[in-house]
Amino acid sequence: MKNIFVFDENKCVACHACAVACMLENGIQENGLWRKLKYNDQQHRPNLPLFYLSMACNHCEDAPCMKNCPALAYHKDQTTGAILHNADKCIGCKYCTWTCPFDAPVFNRQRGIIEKCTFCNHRLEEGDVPACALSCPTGALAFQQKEFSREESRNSSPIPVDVGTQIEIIKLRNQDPPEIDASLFDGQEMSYEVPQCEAKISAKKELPLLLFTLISAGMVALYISGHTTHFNLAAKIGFLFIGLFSGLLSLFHLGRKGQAWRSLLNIQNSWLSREILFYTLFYGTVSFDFFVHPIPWLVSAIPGILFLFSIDMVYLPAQWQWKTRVHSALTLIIMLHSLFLLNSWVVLFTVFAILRILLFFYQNNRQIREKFIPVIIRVSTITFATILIHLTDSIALPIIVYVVGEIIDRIEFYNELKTPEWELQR
Amino acid sequence: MQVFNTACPRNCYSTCSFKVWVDDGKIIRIDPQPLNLATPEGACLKGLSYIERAHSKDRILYPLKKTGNDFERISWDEALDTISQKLQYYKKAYGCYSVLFYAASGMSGLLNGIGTNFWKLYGGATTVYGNLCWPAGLEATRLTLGDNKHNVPWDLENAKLIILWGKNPAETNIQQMIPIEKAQTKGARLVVIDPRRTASSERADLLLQPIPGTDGILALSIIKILIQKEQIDKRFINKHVLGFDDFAKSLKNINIEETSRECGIPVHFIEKLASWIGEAETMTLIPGYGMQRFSNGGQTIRCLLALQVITGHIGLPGSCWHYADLQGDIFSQPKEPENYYPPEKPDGIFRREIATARLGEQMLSTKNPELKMAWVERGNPLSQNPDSNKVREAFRKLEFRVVVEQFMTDTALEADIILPAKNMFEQSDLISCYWHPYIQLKQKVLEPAGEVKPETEIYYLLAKKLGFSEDEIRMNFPGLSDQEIDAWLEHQISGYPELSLDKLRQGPILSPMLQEIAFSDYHFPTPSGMIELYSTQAAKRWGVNPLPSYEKPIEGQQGESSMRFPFQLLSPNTKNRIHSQFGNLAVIKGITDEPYAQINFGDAAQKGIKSNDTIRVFNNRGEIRIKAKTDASLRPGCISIANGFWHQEGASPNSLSLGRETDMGHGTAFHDNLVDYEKWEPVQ
Repeated sequence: MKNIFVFDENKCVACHACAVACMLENGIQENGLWRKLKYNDQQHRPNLPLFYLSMACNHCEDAPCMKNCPALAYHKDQTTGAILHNADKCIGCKYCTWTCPFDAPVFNRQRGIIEKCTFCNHRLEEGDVPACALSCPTGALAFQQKEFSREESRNSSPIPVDVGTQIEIIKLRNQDPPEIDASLFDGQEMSYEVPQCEAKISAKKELPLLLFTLISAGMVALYISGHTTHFNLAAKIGFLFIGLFSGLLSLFHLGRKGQAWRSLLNIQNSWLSREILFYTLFYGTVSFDFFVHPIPWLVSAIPGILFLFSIDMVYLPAQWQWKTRVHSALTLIIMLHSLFLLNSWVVLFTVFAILRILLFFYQNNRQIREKFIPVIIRVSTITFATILIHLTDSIALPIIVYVVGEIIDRIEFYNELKTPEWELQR
Repeated sequence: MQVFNTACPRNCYSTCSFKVWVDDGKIIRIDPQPLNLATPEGACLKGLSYIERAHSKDRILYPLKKTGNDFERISWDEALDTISQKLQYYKKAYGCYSVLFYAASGMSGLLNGIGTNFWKLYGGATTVYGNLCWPAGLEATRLTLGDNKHNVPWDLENAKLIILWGKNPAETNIQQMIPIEKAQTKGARLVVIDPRRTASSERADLLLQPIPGTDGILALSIIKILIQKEQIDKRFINKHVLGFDDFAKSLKNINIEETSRECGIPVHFIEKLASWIGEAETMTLIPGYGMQRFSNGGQTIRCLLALQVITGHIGLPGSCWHYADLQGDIFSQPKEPENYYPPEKPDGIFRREIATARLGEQMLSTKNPELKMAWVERGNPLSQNPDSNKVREAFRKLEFRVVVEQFMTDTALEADIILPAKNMFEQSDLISCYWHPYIQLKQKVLEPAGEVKPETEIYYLLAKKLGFSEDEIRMNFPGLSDQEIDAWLEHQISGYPELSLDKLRQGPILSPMLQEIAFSDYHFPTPSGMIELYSTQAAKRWGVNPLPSYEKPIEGQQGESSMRFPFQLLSPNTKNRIHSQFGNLAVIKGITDEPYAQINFGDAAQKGIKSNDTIRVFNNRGEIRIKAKTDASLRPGCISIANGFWHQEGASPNSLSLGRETDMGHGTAFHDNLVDYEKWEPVQ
């Protein structure tokens, strides 16, 4: 027997009693509701049916929030199945808001931590029902204790994930919109927009992370290129200072910076913890190499590569709707390309440049018009850098041009990341 | 911790039963009460929000006196002394009629009648007649069927065709969506007729979006088709209907192409609806109240009702005219809508000559004596009555204003003295409902907060201050203790052995007068004893066509005034409020946007307006500035702003409406309201 929500799309009229019941039970939620009403089409396009989905945490068996939390702030109540968040352990990294398919964790700006639906665990423990489900005045949202197989869960999930979502969704009997006189709305098609819910991730919001990841790719490339073996003391200190500085930058997005050490706790499951572990190992071994005793370059290179690989894995949950998971601005790709440039491997650099432009176009093909300027800059910088590297012996000028292009590509990378609630809003 | 049964006393169809948990003097939880078959899954978001509202930090808990632009706490003694001195002064200097007693629908209950007793004892007062809400439809129904009643709400699941005509239960009567959905699982068709595409229409088979105010001609056109196709119930008509032949003849000028142009519905949609109605085994037509808030509202409702009548869908399971059910109101005599009429002969006590629909204008124009003082309870006329700029002007012109309120509403802000009003948990009362036929006890479960006193006590104390005799006081007021209130309530139901306060404490009880399938006895209490399509009374009392007929709304898109102001402003209710209540609560704010005007993409594009732009909506009565939201749901040419926002929030649509009565029943034609709008750019 499992505790599950049952939601009937035929009965919900978006009355918001569930959301209000939740607030009355768990407190006013100024930073975002724990239980939200999702609409498939806010614009009432004449040929589309409009239906609603009342969504909070679905207390997944393999909860992605819990698995990915670097600070082990989540746990599962083994009796009730509730996925619970522990405020004391939270570092406010917001990574769970990227990984949850249902947009359940809410970041509380004032407290700097995440809050979320508790399944009304305090009520479940007393044999009672969650407030939202008890209060639904049309009976659309209910709570049940029943057998609920993984397959049923997969079939019910409002977006295609297989994480043991504990909600059964009774689908619309009739998928048709009401028949209406669509001629009333003729000529309005240009006003219809792809629904724009506020993007959780964007280059602007995640500027510290953007810089951190770009710098990291560059530093690893520089180290692997072998140039650092010729560094004097000042250059070595500079190298480590930039590494440390970029690490500090990444702390900026934490709601609770003082708790940052907790981010290492979930090496077992979380790529975020691994990223921080390999970051530490990379710069640790490099420092040893620089200042204590030279060590074989692989000892640092391997953690460096794993560090970048972990960074790229961290962003995976927000790439679910991409055509290809291989983005031209992955840090590993940037690192490799930088390596070719730093070592003046002209042929490799050129081949890679062509491949990356193709990949860039493949990813952007739908938005080329909207992104005209970034596309032009991206293509021209990488082309120009390639031409320069063929024409001149110095790599200083190509590097400058190349870096501009990488910044643009990485900005696009962040802007293309979309957390899964976009699908729910559609 | 204790759990009590109670019921929501708001002016709302659902009048939900619920269980309230009280712990240590606090409402801590509200649970469904499944004994009420109409609201078995519990109350709506507003009902749930009583947990906050009952103990809101914004509540007025003490008598307040205006000092400059602020209010200061005063004692009850000071408040009542001031008020009684003023009352004595105005009575002596100008006569009792210089005092306006204004009460509205903020909280229902029999104890509200005590106010009337007080003002009679005082010697009379000026009061209002009519009603802001539903009287045109009530009167249309009374004229036709003789009584306002319909099948029990849960019978709706037996209907094979459900027509929601101008009603949006998904927001205003949420639990009605339960039997609608059940009927659909049994194969029923759902048709919605509404200029707006609402949540109620999303699961519908057909949505017709007529030009507002033209519903009457749409109904007549369908009737004509049905008559031509002989899809009418001749046996029923012959036996029970008066005036059918005259009515049929009166339709000779109705022409489907012209109808289509007038109401903006394509011919094939009209034909489709007519054929669905012609085929329907059972049909329940559910008109809303918005459609009758037009200058032609009563006649429109008579046209719609004729559709129900000629097809014989009356008195049967699954078939009824579902406007209002007053079977639960075993207390009023006379019932609505007749008790809205001004008395034909003044009774010498109450001077009922101000129409609530024209409150502002008539408060200003009343002479001999002019109004000097107002007493307002259970109402917020400064937001909710039409032409609220004029209402405000009229209130400001008075010398002295008393407002009994729970919160700092627009009206309370204008008061000289505010008296703290009880909430629903602080005094027991009996309530009925106009959708389901239950009698319910709204139980006292809390002691009044702060220095709050129920109105019964306020009037009692005021009567003492004014020096009325013990006998007069005893005859007119129930006394102050809970036992005395209970005894008074018990007395009101003493004629019904089925009812007692003890039984009502266990849950809702069906009205002893209940006919589950309304008119199943085919008894129609009209003058002729038949269903009156031809109504002599209609012509005599209201001066309208004795037959159902289509009249253009005075201020509608198809009329002349649309040249100046081309857009029809609709001011519907939303799920987030009951009129102007609840919007101030944190939980409601947590789910709602700031006030906004809904406009159509096409209209917006023509005016260069995008979603979230601020627009200025105006006509010759006023203007408001409000955020625009654009989508493809509203019929072009309309603009919709939910009523109930306060002027303090910047957006009461009643700044734009005119105080105008409906064609019958002394209702209020809020929606005869043409406006224009433009993008508003703040001047730098």
